[in-house]
Amino acid sequence: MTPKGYLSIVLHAHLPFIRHPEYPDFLEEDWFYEAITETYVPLLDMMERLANDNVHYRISMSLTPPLCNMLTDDLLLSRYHKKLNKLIELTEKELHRTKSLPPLFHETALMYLGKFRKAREIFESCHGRLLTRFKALQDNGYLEILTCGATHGYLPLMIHEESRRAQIRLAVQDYQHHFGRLPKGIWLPECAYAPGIDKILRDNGIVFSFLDSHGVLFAKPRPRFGVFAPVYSPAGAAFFARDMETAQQVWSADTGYPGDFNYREFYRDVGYDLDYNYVRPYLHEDGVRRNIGMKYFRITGNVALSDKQPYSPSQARETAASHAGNFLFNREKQIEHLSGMLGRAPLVTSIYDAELFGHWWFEGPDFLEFLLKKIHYDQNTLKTISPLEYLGKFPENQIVEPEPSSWGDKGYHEVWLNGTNDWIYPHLHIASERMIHLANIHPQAEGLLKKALNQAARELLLAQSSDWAFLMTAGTARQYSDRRTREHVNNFLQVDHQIRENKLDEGFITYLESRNNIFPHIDYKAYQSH
Amino acid sequence: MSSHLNIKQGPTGPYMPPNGPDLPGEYGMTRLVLLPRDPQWMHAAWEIAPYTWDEVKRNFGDDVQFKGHPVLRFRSEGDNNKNTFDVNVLLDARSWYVLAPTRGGAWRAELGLMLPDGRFVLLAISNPIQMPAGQVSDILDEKWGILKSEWERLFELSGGGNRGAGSMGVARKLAHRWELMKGFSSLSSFPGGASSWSRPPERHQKGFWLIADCEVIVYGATTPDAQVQFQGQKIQLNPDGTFSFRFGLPDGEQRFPIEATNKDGDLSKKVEFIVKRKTKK
Repeated sequence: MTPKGYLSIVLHAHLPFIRHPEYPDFLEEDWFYEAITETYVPLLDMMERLANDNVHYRISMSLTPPLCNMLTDDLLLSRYHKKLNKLIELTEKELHRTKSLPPLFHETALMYLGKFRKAREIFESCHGRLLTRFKALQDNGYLEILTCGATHGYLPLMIHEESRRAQIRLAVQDYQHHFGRLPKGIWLPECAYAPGIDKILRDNGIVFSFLDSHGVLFAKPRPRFGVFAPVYSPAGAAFFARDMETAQQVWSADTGYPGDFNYREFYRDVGYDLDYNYVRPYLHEDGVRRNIGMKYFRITGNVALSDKQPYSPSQARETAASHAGNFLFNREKQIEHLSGMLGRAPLVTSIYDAELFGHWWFEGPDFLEFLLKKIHYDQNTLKTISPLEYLGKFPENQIVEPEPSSWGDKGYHEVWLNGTNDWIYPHLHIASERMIHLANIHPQAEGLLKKALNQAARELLLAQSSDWAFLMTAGTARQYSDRRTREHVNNFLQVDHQIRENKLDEGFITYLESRNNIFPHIDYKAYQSH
Repeated sequence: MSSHLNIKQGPTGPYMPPNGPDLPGEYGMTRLVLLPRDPQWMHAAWEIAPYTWDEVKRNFGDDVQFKGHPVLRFRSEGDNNKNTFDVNVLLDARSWYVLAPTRGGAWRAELGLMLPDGRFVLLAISNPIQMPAGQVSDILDEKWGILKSEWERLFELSGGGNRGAGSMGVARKLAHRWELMKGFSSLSSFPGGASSWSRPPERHQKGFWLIADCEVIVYGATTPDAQVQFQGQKIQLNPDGTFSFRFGLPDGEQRFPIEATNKDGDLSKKVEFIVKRKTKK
């Protein structure tokens, strides 16, 4: 039966490249380890389960190049494995401890043990190479993996065309290396667009991307179907716009699903709640109490942390199922209404940060699983679809010039360009200029010079991550993000100086190469002007 | 027409990046870079190298820097109605936020000195930029036409141009939570602590910071063969009958009931601590 409209679910999975071999134990690496256990593995597990059950579904998900590089890095994977084993060890102790507590605590401990053991089983069964499992989902048609900027660089604030091109070109090469084919879709870093970026995408074989709603709504000329159909840019790239109604249902801090009182409370963690000597072996070397990842309380309401009530895994799952039902009901109504108005099958594009699911909203993967099952079994109004499939069904779309925009606060570039972070741009621009110059005057470098040029490119790319400017604005991890920016620019300048002076220090370059080892197969020629 | 945005130089002075590897204060190259921030604001950043000053002085005299006042001159690009406006700046500021007179235009900037006789001494020219429109376009597509009333309804259903709603709110929470996860030690100098670049004490010499938290230690002793329950849960006594626990203490009221029962089970004693924490910042 032909549906009245389509739903395109897009998840953006990204973390900045954080890897510190110089320390045995580095706090900021936890972002990655926690995201594997709480988001990437649960999403993968959920998608595989649905595929095994022959549930028809389509999801698009970016796996950004920094994330792909971390997910294939032996050092990080071995550290993660150790962390996961420690967590399972604690959970097994918790099983014993909670036996004498009210039953909900024990039920929750059992739930954690099940999840963590499952994570380990999945991780070990593919020897830590989770990307191979995502690739299989893509090869079987369930998942469309999107690429992103090479290091999530904020393209509109790059003034050199070559720098923008290198971010895309290197991302495409990295994607091909991991997934054995060229990407058709891209998640533009921070959904940030400026005129001309569309041509770079097309030149690199990319067919489609996404914009925040106003990126299409404010396009020239006016978009005939609002945000409910893709548009083509002047260079021929298709852009899909974020639907705000579905964004609000999940994103809204006040009314969004994740704030339901039955869902797990993030801030009551055993790292703080239990006896110090008991949890000490599971903390970092400094022994400071932090979240460990096991939490026994639910949000409960606007009450003090001490008044939170015990978490009930079964009640939380029921709530997730109910929210999935509510989401679907609203989509059916939305699509029925729109299809009458538009005279064409509408497309609702729902875009979320992947890390929202599981990491921040613990029950998020359950919600998605319920939703996809309900869409498959319970109704005929809509179907999930990938952007590429939609373009196949509806190849004729309006040509517009999209609005320069981003999905950041206020919709433009202020999050990445304001008084807290504008100091970084003169350095990034100079470094870009010099990198382009180096690439142009060394068209075919070999040996140590090639190695130095490649490392210079890595350092520039790492300095360009939009995450650093974002964290400066958010006022969190500011010191770390400042430091990372300075470190990479400084490394670049030193390598640049050595190349220009023809005084290459092999030891130094090898050291940088081992420390900042993103893109093992990088080719600096991506920065050449032609 | 323009003003220097306060977020750059507020009452507490400009934001200074904390310690880390020093980057060059200047690169010895004359340059002016223009960036779009949003439909209203542009950002200009510059450096004027000694070679430029030498040339300008040769042409306009050694005192040119004192005679002229620095100006950013903006010229619209790409349309027939050339628009130009000037903004007075401070050269030493090296960057300036400028309010655009119109939305959606294309601009290029020139940095120069305005001499008393009206001459403009050019120091640097910027890259061109395209500003966002920030509003629905007036341009209609003949092929893809839509009635005004239909468009208004569709606009509303499309979110009404509600820009960037949601994402930053949750993103901030995420970032905040990461900060909490990192806890103290990425801001502190606990010796031997988990590694973070900011840990070594020398890196904090220039910065000022405060970290504080409190925990509670519950301890006691009873006969070594007694059974003790803490918060309703049986605990293991040390061989000498002592016990001790250290807990995090979140804001709010916490109860720590302890009940000991003798070996024969016919005598028991209870103690309950009620601890209230309120943090003011």
